[in-house]
Amino acid sequence: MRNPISALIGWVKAKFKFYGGITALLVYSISDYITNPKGRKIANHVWLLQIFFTANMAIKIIGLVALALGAVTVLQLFTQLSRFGALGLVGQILNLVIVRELGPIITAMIVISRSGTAIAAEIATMNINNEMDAIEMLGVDSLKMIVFPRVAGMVVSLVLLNLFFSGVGIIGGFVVGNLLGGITFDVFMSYVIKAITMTDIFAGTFKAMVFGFFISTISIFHGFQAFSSTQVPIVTTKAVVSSIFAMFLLDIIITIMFYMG
Amino acid sequence: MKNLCLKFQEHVVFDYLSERIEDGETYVLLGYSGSGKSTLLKVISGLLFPTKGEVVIGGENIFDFSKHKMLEFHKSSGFVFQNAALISNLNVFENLALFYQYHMNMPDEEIIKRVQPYLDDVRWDDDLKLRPSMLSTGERILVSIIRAISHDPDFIFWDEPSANLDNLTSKKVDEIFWKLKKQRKTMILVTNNIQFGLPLADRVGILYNGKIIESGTPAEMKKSDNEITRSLLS
Repeated sequence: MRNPISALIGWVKAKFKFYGGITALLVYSISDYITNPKGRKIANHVWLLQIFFTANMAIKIIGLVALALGAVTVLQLFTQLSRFGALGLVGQILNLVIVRELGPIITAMIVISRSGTAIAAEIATMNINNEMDAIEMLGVDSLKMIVFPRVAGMVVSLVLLNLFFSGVGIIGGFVVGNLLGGITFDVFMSYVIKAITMTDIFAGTFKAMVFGFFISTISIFHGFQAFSSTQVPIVTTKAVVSSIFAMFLLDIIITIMFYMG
Repeated sequence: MKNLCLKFQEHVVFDYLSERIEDGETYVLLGYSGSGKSTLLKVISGLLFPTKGEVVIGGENIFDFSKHKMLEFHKSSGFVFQNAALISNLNVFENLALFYQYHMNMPDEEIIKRVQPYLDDVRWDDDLKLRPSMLSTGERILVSIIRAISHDPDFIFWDEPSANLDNLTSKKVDEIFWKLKKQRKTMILVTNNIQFGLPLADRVGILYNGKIIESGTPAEMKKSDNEITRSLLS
């Protein structure tokens, strides 16, 4: 049986290698895009396509989930709050649940399951089919053409989808509030606007941005680890698990940064 | 190549392998399946780093190149992969255009002008908007060859280009090869097809057990007493 200390050292080494690889991938691809104009036009084109695939294609499901979540949150709270005459708290609770916490997390979860998996599988397949090597052999930097647009595309998409999620979630809450308690749009919005601060919007956007950086880079990194077709499902699963783990870890860190300081 | 060693965990692929290839030479590398020919081609072209050793071009070891210098070296090279390795989410034209768009921001009309002579050479009559998945194996190889040579590279690496091709496509590949040979391009060809490879070779190398065990002109190699060489050339 393996010595627990050497197992721990092995685990730490593997984690260093993993996060070191991810950081290197992220830093190189972004810094090269900024400092080296060569190929930027083509990278921008791929970037736009990535926004289309990640944001536009996910908008329907995210809209539906946000609407349902906003509605359910208000539905759960309505009886309790109206009993105590505390309907004004609806705004604060929606802010807490949707804008600050679940908005970025649910958006990221949907993006992981749709786009994170797609990216990991796509990169893995390209790697196995020598497509990455073929790109490099044309003197084209695969990190600029493949990695940067996917990272930047996911960051922009997650920020936009997160704002969309918060907006639709609040509308979902209003619909239920209106149907059950006859709350008018003006009154409902006054509760919401009073509750949401700029810090909340900035923290939610920042979370979405950081999630975007890490989900995309983790998915790409795992995709690059595949060297045979049987490894495609393995690296895809690993990409999902690592992304979810990183997302919750980052969520805790960012929440502490913004609200516990 | 100087003292190239490559190990995957405990498996030794190359064991202090050395060979010299001259400028403008067509070097054909022969070896049994699984001997590491394609892997060696990837090492020589700088796609794969060895455990030890050097590949020296113009007095410089390519493994000391920075990322940007390596990309410059690749820009002056072409690689024809055995499976064509066309970018699957780009169509035929986009695959051919990638080099020009990335390095020169060249407009589409200008790119067409550049690649058209090569398309004519292979008598291409299909739509350039087709995706690689809609092409036959032979067509994919032809597109891959045009992608590798249309920017007039100094070095061309060929990994089994004649494998799985029908006679007509094989003849087209052969014609392209002869044309490039006349232009004195430095070419390294990995193949098992001696009918295709031997007539093209200035020199032939035999890869066996992680080493080049013998090399020479085709005529010299045909006279070899080495059992492995004889079995590969028979």
